[in-house]
Amino acid sequence: MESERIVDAEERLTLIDGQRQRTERALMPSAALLYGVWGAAYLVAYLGLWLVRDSESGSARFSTGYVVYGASLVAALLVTALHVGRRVAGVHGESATAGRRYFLTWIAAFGGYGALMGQLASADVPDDVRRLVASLLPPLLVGVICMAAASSEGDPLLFRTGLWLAAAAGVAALAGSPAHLLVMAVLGGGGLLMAATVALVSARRSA
Amino acid sequence: MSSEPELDPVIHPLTRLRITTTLAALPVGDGLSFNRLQELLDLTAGNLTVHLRKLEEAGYVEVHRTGGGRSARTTATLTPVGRRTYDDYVEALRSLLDPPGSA
Repeated sequence: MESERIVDAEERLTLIDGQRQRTERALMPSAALLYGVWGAAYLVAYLGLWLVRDSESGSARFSTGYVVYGASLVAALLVTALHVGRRVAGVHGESATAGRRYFLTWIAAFGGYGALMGQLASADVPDDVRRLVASLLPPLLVGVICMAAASSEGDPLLFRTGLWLAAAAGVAALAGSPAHLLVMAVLGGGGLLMAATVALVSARRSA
Repeated sequence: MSSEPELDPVIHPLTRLRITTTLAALPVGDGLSFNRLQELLDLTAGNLTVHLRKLEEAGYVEVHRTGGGRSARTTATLTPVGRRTYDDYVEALRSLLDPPGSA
């Protein structure tokens, strides 16, 4: 009777563990996928701008580059929205409220960025300065928002990734135009892909 | 005299144990829609309804129903009592395998 109870307890703990893992896998967005998608987008976006630059003058045939840049980031945004939307569908309560506030943070940050770029486009600002701001303000905003979110969620990988992106934007600014594009492709895209690898290894270890 | 831990009889049936495990995996204060819960548990709607009602009657789960007809939405959340009872249940299972003072 006693041994039956122990076997039953073992089976129940295994069942609990399996159900808990299944729930977490189904409801938690994959950090590895999100870092990977954004790493690839950064790499393509900034390399795209770098490759179409006019090496003679250091300025660029930037219109094609900005199409590649915009398309890469929009594609990453769509993948993120679809993936996160599917995973968190049906979850209600405090996490959903926090998620909505997090979403509004991004809207506020990038709405402000759009307004600023609109003003810079019509202002008497040198092209190099405008391009530097246009391409480095987004990773700086992303880095700072990630660091703030990671601080409240207790997510050390997200915090380190945010810090890395903000630092990469700083290094790129010091490198100047157009070298900043290559710096962001390598440090920004590379850093995010490294974070994807760390998240993947960590997820496999805990599975 | 037996010192074996008591296992809560409401949570004990396997289906209800899986339901409470699923809800306990969510952060405190979060609930899950009926459809998503059904998908995660591979249960029929009728079966899930019956077990949720038992858990609701025991005060372990709070069920919110909004809207009506085809657009009705049902959300289940583990109550603080339910979470504490579930944690005690899991602790009791662990202590059966590794009784206190057995080391």
